[in-house]
Amino acid sequence: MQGHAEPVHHEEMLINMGPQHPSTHGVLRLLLRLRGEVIESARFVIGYLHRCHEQLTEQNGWIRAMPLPDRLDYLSPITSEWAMALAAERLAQVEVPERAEWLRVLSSELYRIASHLVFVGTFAMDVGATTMFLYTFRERELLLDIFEKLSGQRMTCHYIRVGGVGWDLPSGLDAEIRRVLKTVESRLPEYDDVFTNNRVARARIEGVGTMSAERCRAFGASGPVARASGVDFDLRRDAPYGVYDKLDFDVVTGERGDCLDRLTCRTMEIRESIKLCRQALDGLPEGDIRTKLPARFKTPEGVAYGAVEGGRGECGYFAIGDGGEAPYRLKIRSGCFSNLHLIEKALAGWKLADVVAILGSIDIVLGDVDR
Amino acid sequence: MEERGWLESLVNGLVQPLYDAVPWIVHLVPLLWILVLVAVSVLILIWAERKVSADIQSRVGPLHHGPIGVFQSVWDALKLLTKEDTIPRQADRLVFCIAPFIAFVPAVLVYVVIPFGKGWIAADLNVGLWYLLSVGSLGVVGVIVAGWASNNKWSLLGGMRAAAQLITYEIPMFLSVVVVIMMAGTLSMDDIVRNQAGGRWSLAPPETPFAGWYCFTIPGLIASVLYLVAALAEVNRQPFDLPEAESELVSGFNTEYSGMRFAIFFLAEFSNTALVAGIAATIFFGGWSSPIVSEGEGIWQIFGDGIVWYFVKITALIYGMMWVKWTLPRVRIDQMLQVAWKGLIPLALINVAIAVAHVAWVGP
Amino acid sequence: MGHVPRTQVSSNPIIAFFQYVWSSLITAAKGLRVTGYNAWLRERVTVAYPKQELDLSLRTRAKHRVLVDDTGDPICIACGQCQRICPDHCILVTRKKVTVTTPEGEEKQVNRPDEFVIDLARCMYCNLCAEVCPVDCLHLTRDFKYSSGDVHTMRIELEGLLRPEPLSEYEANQTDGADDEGGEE
Ligand code: SF4
Ligand code: SF4
Repeated sequence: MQGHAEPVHHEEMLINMGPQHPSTHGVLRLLLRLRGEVIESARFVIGYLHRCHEQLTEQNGWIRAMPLPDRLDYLSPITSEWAMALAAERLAQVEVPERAEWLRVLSSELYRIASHLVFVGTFAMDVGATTMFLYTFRERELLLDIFEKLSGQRMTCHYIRVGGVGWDLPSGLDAEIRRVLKTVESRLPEYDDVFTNNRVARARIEGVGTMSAERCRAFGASGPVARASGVDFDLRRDAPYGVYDKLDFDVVTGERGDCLDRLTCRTMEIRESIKLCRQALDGLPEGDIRTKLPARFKTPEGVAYGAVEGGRGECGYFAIGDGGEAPYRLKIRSGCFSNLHLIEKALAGWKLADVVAILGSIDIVLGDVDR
Repeated sequence: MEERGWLESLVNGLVQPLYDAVPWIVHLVPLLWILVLVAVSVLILIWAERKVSADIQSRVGPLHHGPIGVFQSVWDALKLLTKEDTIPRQADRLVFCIAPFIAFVPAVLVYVVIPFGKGWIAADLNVGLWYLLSVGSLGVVGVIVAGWASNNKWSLLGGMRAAAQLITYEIPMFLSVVVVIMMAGTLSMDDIVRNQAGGRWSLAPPETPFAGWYCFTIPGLIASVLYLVAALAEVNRQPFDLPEAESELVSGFNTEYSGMRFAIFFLAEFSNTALVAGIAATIFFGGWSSPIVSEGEGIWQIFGDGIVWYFVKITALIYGMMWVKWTLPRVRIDQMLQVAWKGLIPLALINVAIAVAHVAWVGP
Repeated sequence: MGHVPRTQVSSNPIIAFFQYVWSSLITAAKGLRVTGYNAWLRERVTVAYPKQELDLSLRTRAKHRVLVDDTGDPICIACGQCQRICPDHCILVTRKKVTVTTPEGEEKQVNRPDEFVIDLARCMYCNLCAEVCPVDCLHLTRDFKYSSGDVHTMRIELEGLLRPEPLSEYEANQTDGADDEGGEE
């Protein structure tokens, strides 16, 4: 019983939430010390989904490990792929064709929409609005269909490769993407009506689980969680990669850092991503989509850090090359992992029902936390 | 003819001596009708719940057993019957086993005083409404002991939530029913329906068959809204499904239940759902009286008063409850209590005062 | 930023109370309108799978397929590149020398696979093997109906990989002769 050395008082109850609990978003285990329904303290236990991802890459080499980032943050796989490709490209100084960069922006923004849609749905379901979950998944389905046509796979796309992207945009998909974007955009006000603006939902999420900007910075939180607390930081704008510096978008920030802010940050980001997708489709240049790599792609000695703004925060791959086909050492920085550490403090004092709301609002993917 | 005679002699030979020996056996007939009704309506309700939720969520719902899946719940019930019956090792076995029945029996017993149609009432007690509310509130005991006996922390939390919620929401429910009692001047369910036959001041246009329904008086209207909100909480439906809050408490008080015992809980829950809708239909929406013609002639007879209208009203109310359930999120425990103590109860008390004025002014 | 406005309530508790009551009813009605619209007017999205099927994209990556030449022999040259690159080690290729007659009538010694096994139970359908093949003979097709209760039956030998249907994107483009036709069927 890690972290719970003190005995449990008479009126207290130590309760194990997870790893088999419907709303811990995977195999997170929470140890809650309850007094009635009020959380006295909380600890989390992670590691149930550890898959030696870093080691696998170190052994398999860059090219053969490229499909693996999809399995980390499986709700926003493209961004992890991009981070890994970026690390390899920066290490080996690979040029990426212009069209590939635009396709990367397009695909990662599309998947960001899908990922945020999952968030909105699962968060609403945690708060009890089951129908929202089905609605957002219905719209996500459209986006996944696009990925099926683009890369052949819906979630484990293996789309971004070192030196480019795997497939070009098939003809006709351009129009379909625009159509889907329009659908998603038109459904967003419905979500507000069903969930965000609902009085009951407001009572559950407004002012609940506030996190200050300082605490977010102290814990290294990033992504929508930090932005909702007012940390104005977005890698797409502050350390541009790809062609984000040529695109026009706003970084959404919140004011109070409560669950409502974290929710609206995401819904606003969906709107921004739709904007970005349209720009990417408009500006898509002609040309190659992939740099031809040598049959045995090797990275020289040196260090490189590739970081992208993932669906759930900064997703970074830090690689040390030793001249071989694989990195000598790879360290993955996942947004979820840092964000998750916020909850221990955030949970104390709230009710049991708020646990799922706050946890849901942080939007963790255990595949990314445990790697 | 031959066959008829054979059947008659069978009936005469079997039923008559039985009746002679135990004359009270006739009382079992309505009970049997109620049991069958509850079982069948629950099966239909479960199917309807799945279909309605599927509709709302852009899905299709059950599809394969029977036309548009109506027999799905029959198969589900059979599956539950054949499932292994597990009892947690540390559970209080006796209490664990009888808890579902404690919840289920009151849920069926209350149907005794429900007037399904003209004269279709098993026992027209002169304290019908009072019997209904008091017996109906016994079911919570089953839920609480189920939560306690399971020896599971989630169940315990669910049981405690159920205790807080069901007891709290009985108050606004009673207070809104009191309004009807004042206006009707009787506790008998059948008389309450008959009293809604018009003749008093109403929001609805006069001379219409539904002008007398209590939901068309000002206190009755407020009371019906309050009643329906409280009823949602009484039957643990969203936004008040805290005792079994799936995303928080795994499954609440019935986490450890499986197989038949779980089915009995399910039965009790859905029969309660039908019950609160039935009460609302009876006391606010005119029970079995028809909104079109009360005593029709010719073809209009089928639209006249009768059991059909009662089921139509219940169906509409249940559809509304399902619609609400699949739209709203869940409130938190403290908010749930706030809604009752700071919202419904004050409103219901004000409404009782309005009703007093109404009765004094307009007459019952 | 243009956020969703926060709840504003009056400081007067009585007014606030009625504001809460009113906003509860209004927002619930708005939600009910949307869900009701979905229930009655919007079409269903689910597909009753075994009875109805959706068209899969041409790029869908499922069971492998080895292309054959006109004589029905696989065109694989048993170079073993796919085996080498597969991250999951699910391909096994062994080489044998066979003599073939070219269209010009010459006898030629070529490499052909002796044993060619793909363990689909381990495969993650990453497409790396198909991309690395120097003669474009290995492809991932849309054929996904090979699940089985016995994991050993997922080890597919060469014969199992020769099924001509359905086409992969590569073949579809070859037969149509229209590269830009990809994506849709
Ligand atoms: S698709 Fe990937 S995992 Fe499957 S056999 Fe080819 S290389 Fe191996
Ligand atoms: S890479 Fe192609 S040619 Fe080489 S062994 Fe594999 S399938 Fe045969």
